[in-house]
Amino acid sequence: MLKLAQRYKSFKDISFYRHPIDIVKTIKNYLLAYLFLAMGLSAFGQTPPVDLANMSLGDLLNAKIIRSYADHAAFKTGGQGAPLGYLDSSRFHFSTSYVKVRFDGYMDGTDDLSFGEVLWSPEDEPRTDENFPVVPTVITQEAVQFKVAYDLTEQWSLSLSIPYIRQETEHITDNNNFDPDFKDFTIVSEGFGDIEIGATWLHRLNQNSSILVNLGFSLPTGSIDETGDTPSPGRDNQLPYTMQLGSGTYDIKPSIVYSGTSGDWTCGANLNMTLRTGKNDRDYRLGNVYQAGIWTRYALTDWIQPSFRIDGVAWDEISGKDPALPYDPINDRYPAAVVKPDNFGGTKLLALVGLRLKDPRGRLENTFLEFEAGAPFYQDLNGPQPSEDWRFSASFVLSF
Amino acid sequence: MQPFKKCFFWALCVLLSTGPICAANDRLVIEENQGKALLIYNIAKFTEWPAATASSDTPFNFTLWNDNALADAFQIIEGQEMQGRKVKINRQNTDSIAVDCQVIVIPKQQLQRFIKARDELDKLPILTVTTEPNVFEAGAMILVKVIDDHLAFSVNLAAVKASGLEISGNLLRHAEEVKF
Repeated sequence: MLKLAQRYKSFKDISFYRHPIDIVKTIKNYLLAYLFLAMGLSAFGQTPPVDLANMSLGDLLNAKIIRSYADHAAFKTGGQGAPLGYLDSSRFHFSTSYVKVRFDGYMDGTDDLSFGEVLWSPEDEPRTDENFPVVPTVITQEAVQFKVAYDLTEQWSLSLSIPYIRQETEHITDNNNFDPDFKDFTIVSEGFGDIEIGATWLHRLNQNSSILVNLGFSLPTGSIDETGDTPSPGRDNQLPYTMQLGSGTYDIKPSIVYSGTSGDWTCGANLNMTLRTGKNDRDYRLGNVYQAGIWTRYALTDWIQPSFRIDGVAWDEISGKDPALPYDPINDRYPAAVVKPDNFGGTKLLALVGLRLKDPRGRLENTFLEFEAGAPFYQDLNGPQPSEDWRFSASFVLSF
Repeated sequence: MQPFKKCFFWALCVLLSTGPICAANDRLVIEENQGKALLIYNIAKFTEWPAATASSDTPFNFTLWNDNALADAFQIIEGQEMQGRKVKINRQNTDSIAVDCQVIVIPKQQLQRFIKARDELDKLPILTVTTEPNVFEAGAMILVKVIDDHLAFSVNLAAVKASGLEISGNLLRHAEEVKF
């Protein structure tokens, strides 16, 4: 058992280095994407910033006037850190973002658990609520979200966002009690998630600060019927909650964001909630999510703005249970933590650093590219539950 | 490359490559209040005050009535040179009239205050500029406004001349409307 535990403690490292070619390919892809970015920005970079006070009358009368603070499109399209104002002429705001979150390891409360501690070995230990015959090890969630916002009036706008999600989970099982094919195995689910529509109201407090209130509704368009090969009898078994693409319920998503600027600094705070309604067709409801964050961004130059953010997230356990997932009602046992509804929910605090790149000439005021990466520094999970390792996001916001 | 990553990669490339296309639309973007402040500053550059109104070591004063947001935007021109004098921005939130200034900016919701002050202002070499059409109709000299997404202005030339000021023809040809 000790040997097994030691082996699984080092599993993280093994899995990370398992596909060096994939890593090289990924780096290559991002370098190519950066090249496109550099090409775009180089077109912006050929004119120095304008001295506004010495503009000619002709240039001034030809200028495009926006009725807003500097970063309002980021606000409306949900750019990370969500800042500011109203664009009178640029009524359409389009954003696309890529988010990747990696879970690696387990926690019960605030205690770290090794894979060996979570994996049940029948020969060595009794079955309890704390161990399982199947253990997901590394969970990777990726999402690309496309979002369009349209300004109805100076204060009101509507938005529509469509996520495309890919999830991958690696598993280990006890060697002696499973088919060799399932000694370790990986399952993948992929497809469109829940579409969200929203209405946003902007209230300008003064020249330098504003509040934005958003009421979103998430529609159950994402699949909750994802299947795959698992150690359960038969093929195409229902996958765990973590591998489904949608919630299956109509969810209400209110949020409020405050943003203020002072010189080169922009600061803000936000509160977001996801409130589930009813139960889905599989007779369960995911937990509500409550998120609060504070952030600050510094304009290092006109077009490079690093940022720092602290996020707090609390989410509830699952209510109800998917009857298609494996469960032993006699002993009240589940084969894996990710199919046990009680092993969801918890709280965590994350620290994230970001970098926003804008048009150096200031002519595309509400268009920018933003990167952000961070990790939790505190997690208290209803466990045993997979714990988050790190996350990364890239967003591009375009107004026209 | 997996289909998902391939899709993301090309979507990102297409979006990033739209940057230069957008850049081809070469209009400078300015926030509304800042734009109005700059336009009023430019209009003042094309205006002549009677020679004896002030010496070169006194500031060139812009006075703004009850509009802190607009007054904040005027900070962009504070300290600039105007007709050999340094520009100074004054906020005036009381009903008294600042006679020691060259330009008064009258924002929205100040019509009654302007009407009360109008007779006194008419006797002074002060350029009265407003962002409110009703105030312009009531006798202010310049109306600054936003039409669609660009700045425009109108001039009440009769009021300008009555106060002893002169406005350059180069400015008037850019005006959307000139009232004689």
